Amino acid sequence: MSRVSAGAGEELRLELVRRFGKRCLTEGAKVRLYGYDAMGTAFGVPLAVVQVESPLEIPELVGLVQRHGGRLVARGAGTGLSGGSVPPDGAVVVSLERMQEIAGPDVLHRRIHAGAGVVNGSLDALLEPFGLFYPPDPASYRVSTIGGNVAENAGGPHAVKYGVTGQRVASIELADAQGRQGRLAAGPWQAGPDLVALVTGAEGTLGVVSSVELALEERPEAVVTMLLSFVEIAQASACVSAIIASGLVPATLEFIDRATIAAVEAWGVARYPAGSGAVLLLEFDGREADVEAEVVRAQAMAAEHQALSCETARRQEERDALWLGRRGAYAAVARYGRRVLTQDVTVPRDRLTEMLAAVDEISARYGLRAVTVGHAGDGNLHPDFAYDPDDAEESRRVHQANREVLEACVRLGGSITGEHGIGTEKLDQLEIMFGPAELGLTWAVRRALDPDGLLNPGKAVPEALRVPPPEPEEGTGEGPVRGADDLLRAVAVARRDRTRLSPDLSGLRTIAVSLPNMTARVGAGATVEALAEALEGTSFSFAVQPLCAQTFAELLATNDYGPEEISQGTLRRHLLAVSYVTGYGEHVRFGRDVVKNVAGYDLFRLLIGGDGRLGVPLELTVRLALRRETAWWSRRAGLFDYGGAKGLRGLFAMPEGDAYRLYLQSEIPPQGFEPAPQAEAALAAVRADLRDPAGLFDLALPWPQLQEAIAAVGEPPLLVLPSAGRMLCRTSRAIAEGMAGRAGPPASARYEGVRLAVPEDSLARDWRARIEAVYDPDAILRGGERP
Amino acid sequence: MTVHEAIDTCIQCGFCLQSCPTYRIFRTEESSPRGRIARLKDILAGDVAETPETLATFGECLGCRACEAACPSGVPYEEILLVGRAKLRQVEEPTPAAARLALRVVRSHVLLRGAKRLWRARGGSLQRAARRLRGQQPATRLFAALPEPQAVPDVPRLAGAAVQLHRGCVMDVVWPRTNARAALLLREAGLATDLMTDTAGCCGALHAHQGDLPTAREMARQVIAAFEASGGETIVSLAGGCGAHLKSYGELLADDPDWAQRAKRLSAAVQDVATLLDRQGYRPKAPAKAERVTYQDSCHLRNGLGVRREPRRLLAGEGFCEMAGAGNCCGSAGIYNLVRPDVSERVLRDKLADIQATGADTVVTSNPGCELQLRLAAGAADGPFKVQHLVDWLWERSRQD
Repeated sequence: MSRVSAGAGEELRLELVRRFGKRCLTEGAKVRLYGYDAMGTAFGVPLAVVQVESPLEIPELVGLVQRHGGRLVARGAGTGLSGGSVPPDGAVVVSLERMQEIAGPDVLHRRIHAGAGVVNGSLDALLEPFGLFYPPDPASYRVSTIGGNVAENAGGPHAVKYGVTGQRVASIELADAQGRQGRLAAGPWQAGPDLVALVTGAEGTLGVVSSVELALEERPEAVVTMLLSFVEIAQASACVSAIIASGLVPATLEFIDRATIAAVEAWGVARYPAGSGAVLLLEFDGREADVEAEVVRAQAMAAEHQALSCETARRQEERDALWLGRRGAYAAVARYGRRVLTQDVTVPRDRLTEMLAAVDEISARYGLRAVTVGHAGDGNLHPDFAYDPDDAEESRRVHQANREVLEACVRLGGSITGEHGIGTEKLDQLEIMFGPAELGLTWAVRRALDPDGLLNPGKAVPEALRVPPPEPEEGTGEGPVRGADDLLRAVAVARRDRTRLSPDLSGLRTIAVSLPNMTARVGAGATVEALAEALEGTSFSFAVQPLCAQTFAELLATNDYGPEEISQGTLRRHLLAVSYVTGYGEHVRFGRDVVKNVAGYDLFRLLIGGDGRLGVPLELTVRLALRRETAWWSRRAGLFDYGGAKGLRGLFAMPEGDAYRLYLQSEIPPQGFEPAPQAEAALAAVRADLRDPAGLFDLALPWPQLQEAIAAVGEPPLLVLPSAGRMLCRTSRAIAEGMAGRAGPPASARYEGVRLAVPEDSLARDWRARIEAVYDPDAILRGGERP
Repeated sequence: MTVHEAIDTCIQCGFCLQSCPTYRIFRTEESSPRGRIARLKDILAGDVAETPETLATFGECLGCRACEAACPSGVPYEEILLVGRAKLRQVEEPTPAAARLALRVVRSHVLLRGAKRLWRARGGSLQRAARRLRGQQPATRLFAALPEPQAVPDVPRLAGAAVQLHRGCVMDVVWPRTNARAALLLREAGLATDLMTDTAGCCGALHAHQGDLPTAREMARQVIAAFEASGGETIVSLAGGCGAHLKSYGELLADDPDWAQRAKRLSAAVQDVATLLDRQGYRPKAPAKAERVTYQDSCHLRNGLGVRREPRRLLAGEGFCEMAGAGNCCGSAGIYNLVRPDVSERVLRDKLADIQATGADTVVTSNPGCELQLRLAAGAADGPFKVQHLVDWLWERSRQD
């Protein structure tokens, strides 16, 4: 169904041809070829396909389509698995395949700018000479584009160690539904809310992405791929549990079952040991000595679980050969039937065995055979059903079984899609995972940013009514918060009385650690220090070590961080779920206790750095990281004289005379640095000093402007985090506010200093206002003080 | 498998996209294998009309089959392509005069004999004439890039030999020396080998690839009859394209009740020269020394017959270096460089850069078309490199001290 009338459509088509000439395809035969994706069951015939070649063309195109009342669908290589890029009939497709521009890499700060059409797999050869790499590797990485990866928040095997696409996106250049172009930035120097997280995984419903800035990773010194085969699936699954429980963190931990093995062997790219009933594909990377030690431990565990064979591959070609079969598994399974329904369920990784059992039980009950591969390391399984779409009875069974599998996964605390997205495929199934409050809020955000439904309609988020907030009761709604109901009451009262809400979260201090799942659930009032204490004696830690923020609510509101930012990024990489109450008065929980989750908009990372202006958190789930043996080193140097240092974990600088003392936390002794056992104490002293907010000036800027700013303040800084462009010092509020374009409000009771960040892009400012109007219509969380 | 079934094996995953030389150039779905399959599906379903425009994409395809190697679902792309090409042929005679002439000559072994005599007697002077015209037509440029007429070593007859070497068409006219050397090398490696009669003629791959399936079938029957009469067990070809086509006779004649079984037998008997030599443990006496050698795969040998490692094992040595994108098509693609010189040249430009990046003095390949195309590239390169068929390279290595 097209909402464009035939006449208007014709007019739009003519205008597109006039503007884009040969790059606008309109012949029926040609545009039909943009009507499908890799899911293979959705199809639509677009009105026209425009192949844009420059970012500037996109807002123009959006404007054109908008004026004619049309709809626009962005498309990369069309390799998605949920119908995300399949156009509704009559929509205009904007093909980003020719947006091939690359700028960088910036080696010092480990960043690269890539056009939306750049193929993920082409980055590796480019980055290799710089000793860097881009970790997210969806199975389609050799053909899928960065733009598409961002739209779907693509995952891949390496997510178990390095996270998914969303954790790698530093900034996004895009055109929004109003036809305005801008750059949304996140991370150290950009004030929140985290709009980058919102756009990542939104499947092109909020904007058309033209280019992306990606955070890169240091290329590991050594990589070993291991292929473990087992006669029985149960042995393989027990081995997975043992590996997880042992605290080993492989870079990948993949599971392939017997039927998949047979399909891949038929393709001819891989041979597995005869008699294999299940195969595990493990990869370890890092320093050579560590990797070899981990391989030995994994080999021992394989032997303990009666592995049939245990191969190791160290050379690139050998490793590629082991991987090829796994990456093609989805399409290889098509050898069993005309179409494949691939599922993408994710559960907390210690519930994996239960999930596998549930899949077996459900498929047996429906007389189906599930062919399963999965990223066992992060609890993401792909049970596939091969079937004949023309066989109505079989199709019905497949779809019913599919729904039951999704329900089982939600019961186990998981997400109905870990990396494939909602698209059109799971639009009706989001309700299995989310209640009316979450769905209503999600749709309200969509409407706020794209009121006409111009961009990729009918994808990612279903239309839903917003749940009305509770009526205010008698009283003031004050007192410590013990749960969501207290907060809902307080919000209702604050809205009625038009007062500012400042809830007392000190009662929410529970900490529940799950070591097998490598996660912790923390109350919003719990402190980061308390979590560190709870983790003492384990091999895990919480990677973010904020300088000022004490509680998790403060950390979420301020996106604070410490010297570890250079290797660990900020909270975005470590946050998995938040339950919160909005200023409108609804209790929602977004995210799950899993690393991979692309169900609906990311409305929990959105809160990061938002100064508490959207909602009040109750509980957060964070990811834990493996502790590493490191030491501190230092030398007198310039702020940026750390380039080329390997194995960096942390970095900060303190003034010393007319230069700086640069402190490096590293696994490897850096050249030209001396041991610095005093670093921890120096850092602790600064942290203690920062508790006094009087005159505290906290500034974060892109690197080139940092030194200028330090000179402008005139006072020696207390501390500098050069990789983040952040500087803390004490100065008068007048100087602080005078020198930058914008001063942030006090973020919390404990954080009353002045916090500066680069002025927002006008697009970001407009988006923030629209989102705040949805979340907090009566400004009870804002007080209206932010300019 | 019917063409409908073949199309149905594609689940549109898109893994083929980056393997396709025309997709890499144009970045449109229509220029990709997945798009071509979808186009034929639309045509067969009646959603799209058969016109020169809608079928043009089948002419644009190089037919390199790199997509088949990249395809996890096992889509028989070439079968789909040939149906598309046959349809294209019905609406348009796409081939330029030079290509039509070539197709006509190789159809008849009598004309081929004539061509052979003409080449031996006048080849040199014709080439010199062509060189003077250089840079004009693609056909003249290719002609000028051919090697000079060669003296052919004597291959004593060995009637009823188990291994029968199919001479081919262009191979037999321009590279008879390479054919003869191959027979002698195979004998050295311990295999009773003989050159097949030239009445077997051309295998018909060029015709099939142009969509002329009736002619291709007629020529296939001729080869099958000649092979059966030879008493051989194995049929070997020095052209990757011919080998892969011989291998597909079973499908080509599947609907011909008199020939289906015989065609299947021939398909099963096809072997590649590198595979036979490697299997016999043959190694050159003097492996590469100071010389730097790289290898360009023949697309059909690599993607059609799956022969990838064997030639590299024969070339292994100090001087061998693998070329980035060795498995990417060079743009020769049968007579594609005559039919679509524009695309062919763009493909060749990338290939030239890859060759130069290896710093190789010699590029070895396994197909006459590729050899000719690379000779064209060498002529244009600043630091020229030598181009040799694998057999010629092995021959020279085994005759050095």
